[in-house]
Amino acid sequence: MLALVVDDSRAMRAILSRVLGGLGYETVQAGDGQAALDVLAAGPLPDVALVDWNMPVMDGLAFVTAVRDNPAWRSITLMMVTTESEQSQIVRALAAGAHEYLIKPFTPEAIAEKLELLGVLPLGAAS
Amino acid sequence: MSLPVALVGEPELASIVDAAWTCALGVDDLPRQGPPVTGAGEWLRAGVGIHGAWDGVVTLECTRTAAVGATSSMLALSPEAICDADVHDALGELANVVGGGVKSLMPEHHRLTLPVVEPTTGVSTTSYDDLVARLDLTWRGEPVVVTVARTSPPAGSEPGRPTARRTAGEPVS
Repeated sequence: MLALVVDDSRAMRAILSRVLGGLGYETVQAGDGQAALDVLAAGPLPDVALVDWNMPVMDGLAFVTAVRDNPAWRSITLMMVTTESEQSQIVRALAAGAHEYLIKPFTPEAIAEKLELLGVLPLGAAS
Repeated sequence: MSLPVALVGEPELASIVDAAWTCALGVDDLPRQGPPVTGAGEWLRAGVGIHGAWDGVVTLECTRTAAVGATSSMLALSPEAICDADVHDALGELANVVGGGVKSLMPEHHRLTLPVVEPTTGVSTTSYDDLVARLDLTWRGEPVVVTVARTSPPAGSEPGRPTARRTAGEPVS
């Protein structure tokens, strides 16, 4: 399975990619929402995208909205991974089309549990 | 708002730092409480502003040696393979996660700025008049200082609008 990691921090992209790699994903990365849209347009489509909220150029909420506006990208499972922890922000993200929401700091176990709940954990991955 | 002194004391800040370190560097590599830091030398300071009913800044300061070590671990690269931008990015992300933890304790809507990272010549947060909490820590034998302090509201800021991640320059608030 392929996962897209969208975060403006290279270090956070590395951490998330390492966790996802341990779960059996191949990963691609993007440093902001617009760069992530470019990745999707170039293909192949990821099965899941982990998306930060606060990023320059295009933030995570705008990215989620753009993905949901494109029927060709409807199959992508979207999970916000962000320091935004207020209930109102979580509601906004879910209303925009995010399937799940994970607050930083996270643990690898929390990521695995969320992905398992979403049904996008690679076969054989232990949560 | 007079504020989160009751919400964000040193025990709460220590829990937040532990969680951030666990996320970024693993549960077996946590900082420990250390002696008060007064040293000078080659340091880095990463700060994120919190703005809303209460205005403040969360600051993470450490020696360059500690910052390079953290960056190396976060990127899983040797210290020789990382550049200054990597170090600023990694330290900024650590400050961002700690700042998010502090913001999560606020009872009302607040926004977090993107991190600002800059080189300094020693720990500097002792100059804050409105210090809310301070942790003097030791990580891999290097001093690390984490503070939460009250600041003035940002002048002419546009709420909720992040700008590009900066690596140096003016303070966050």
